Amino acid sequence: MSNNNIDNNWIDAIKSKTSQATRQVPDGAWETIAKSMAQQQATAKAKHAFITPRMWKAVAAAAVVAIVATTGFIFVNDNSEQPQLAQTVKKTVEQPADDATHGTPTTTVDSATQSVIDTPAPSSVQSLSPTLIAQNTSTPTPARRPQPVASRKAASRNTGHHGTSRNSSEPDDQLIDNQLMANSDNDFIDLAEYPNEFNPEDYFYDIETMQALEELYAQYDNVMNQEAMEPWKSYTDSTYQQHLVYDANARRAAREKMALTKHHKENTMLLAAYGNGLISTDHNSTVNSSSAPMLLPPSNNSGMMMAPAAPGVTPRVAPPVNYNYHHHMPLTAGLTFNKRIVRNLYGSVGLNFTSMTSDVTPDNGGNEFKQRIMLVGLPFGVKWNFWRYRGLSTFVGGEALVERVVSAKFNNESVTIKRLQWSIHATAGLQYNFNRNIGVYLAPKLSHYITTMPLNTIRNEHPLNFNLQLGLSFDF
Amino acid sequence: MMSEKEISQGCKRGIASAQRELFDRYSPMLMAVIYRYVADDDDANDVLQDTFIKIFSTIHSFKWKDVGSLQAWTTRIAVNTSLNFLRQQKRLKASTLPVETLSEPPDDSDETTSQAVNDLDVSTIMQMIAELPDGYRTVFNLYCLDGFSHKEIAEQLGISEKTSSSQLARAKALLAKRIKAYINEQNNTTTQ
Repeated sequence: MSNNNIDNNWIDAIKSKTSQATRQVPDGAWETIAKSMAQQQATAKAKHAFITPRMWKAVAAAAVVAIVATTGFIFVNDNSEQPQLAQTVKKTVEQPADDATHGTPTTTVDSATQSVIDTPAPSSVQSLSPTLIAQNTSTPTPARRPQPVASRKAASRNTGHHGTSRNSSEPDDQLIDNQLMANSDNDFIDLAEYPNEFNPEDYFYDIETMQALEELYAQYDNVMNQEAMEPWKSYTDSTYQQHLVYDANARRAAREKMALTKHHKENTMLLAAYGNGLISTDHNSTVNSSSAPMLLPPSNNSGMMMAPAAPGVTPRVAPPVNYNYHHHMPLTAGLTFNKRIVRNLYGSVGLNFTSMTSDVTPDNGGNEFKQRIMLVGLPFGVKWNFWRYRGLSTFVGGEALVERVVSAKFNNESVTIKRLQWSIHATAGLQYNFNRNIGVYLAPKLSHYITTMPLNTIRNEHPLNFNLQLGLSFDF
Repeated sequence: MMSEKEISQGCKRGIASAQRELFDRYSPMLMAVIYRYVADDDDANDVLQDTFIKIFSTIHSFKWKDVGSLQAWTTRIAVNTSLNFLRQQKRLKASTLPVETLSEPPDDSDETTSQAVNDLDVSTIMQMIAELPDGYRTVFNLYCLDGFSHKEIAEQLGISEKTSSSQLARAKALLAKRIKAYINEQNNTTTQ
């Protein structure tokens, strides 16, 4: 046996014995290790994380508060859609008419009024007829038709205020008033609920115009009081009542407009003015084409018109104008916060903003203009991560989204839309997390818009659509 | 009872129960390894904690191959951690070596047999190794018990391979001398 062999043998024996050696570990060693590991992890996160865990909680709380506050401000304050009437009227009367088609000038309310003022004092009922103003706006105006906005009380109150030369001896006037009120009961809405929604001065005639109208209608009343000018006597019984309706409405219109002149800053006067449109609209069906219609009924997409015409005078009604739309791709930006509910299942809530723009071209040769709509949305849903490898994960999810229009412009005219837009979404996507809190995701999304908007948008045309989302995700 | 593979996978996912299982299963063995290097219970306890923290923080780099691979990997970490500790304590400098070891190593190989070693219990052997000077003990542990080559020892300790070989010879001679002395002492006690 060589020295080397002897040497290796005892060394191997030592190795064999020590390889099985164990030594008592002091009590509390594991607790110390676990504590040290937790401290090291916290330190490492603090070094690498832009926002520390404690800050994440604060950020998350701030985000939730911001979302709730924004949502409350935008969504909860949804009392009615009525106030959009003012904007509707304003927009409607400013839309152009197709003059060439009818050969008679069709103007806006303001210019119509001006044309009445410029007209010399008439000598007959026919010459006193104000221009009928009407404009069908086809699709673009808010679909919800202007609601009748006058109350019976307001109308009667205004009637009492006008102070015009109404002939109280006319028995038919009161009769017609009663009939009109009875027929309109279901449509009357007390606008006292909307005392501060709009400024009458923005939408109604100025003082000089109303004074001219007052003078004009006073002349009209005088003419109508003359026995020689009792036109209904020459009509058949079937049309008699219709002309009474016409006559009463014509005078009521004059009274109410004058009341506006005197009390144009009072909301009750404003209501009365709209009441004129109500009465005319409501009774249009009782006035056939053989007599002068007081007012053409607004269609779902049309505005209202007002002002009476004399019997036998053909109303000047503008034809409908159709609009062609070219919708641009909607753009959405937003934040989504995910909170783990259970393992791999997250609840999500967020806030997003959507911009939808459309090019609108009227088919009557008018200039192209833009329709712009801005919405703020509150998405909420669930997400399930079904596969994960390091920072990469795949997920499927469902989401509901409620949106509110914060701005809608149709050719620089603001339109108020307070209807909430609901939609549901299904998505499947791929996410890469840079750290435990922040990730970027790419997700195809199938969306269905349940409620539609009064304005013509790409969502109305395609309630079910497919899109691709790229975004940042914050998990906390 | 979790298998070695399950423990490693659980630790990679950060599962506390797997980490605790790894600690319970390997900490006594690793404590013994560490004690062979640092030769002090308190120091060994500190190094053990550092070792497990390093294990858990680098477990993602471990690839399980077969049974024993996790133990070998943890042992390697324990050895490296122990060496780092000794470096920090500046206990690996040549100046710390005793003067007597700088002379030629005694030729005691013919007098120390495996039988003599086998008659010793583990704690006695561990104590004898621990009583070796730091430099000798480190080279002896690395080369004879943990399978390092002289080249690797030279790289680890920052010395030449020749120095490593020389210190190993002196370490073995010193250990053999102490084993013989211990056996002789035991024999004398028995005869009396």
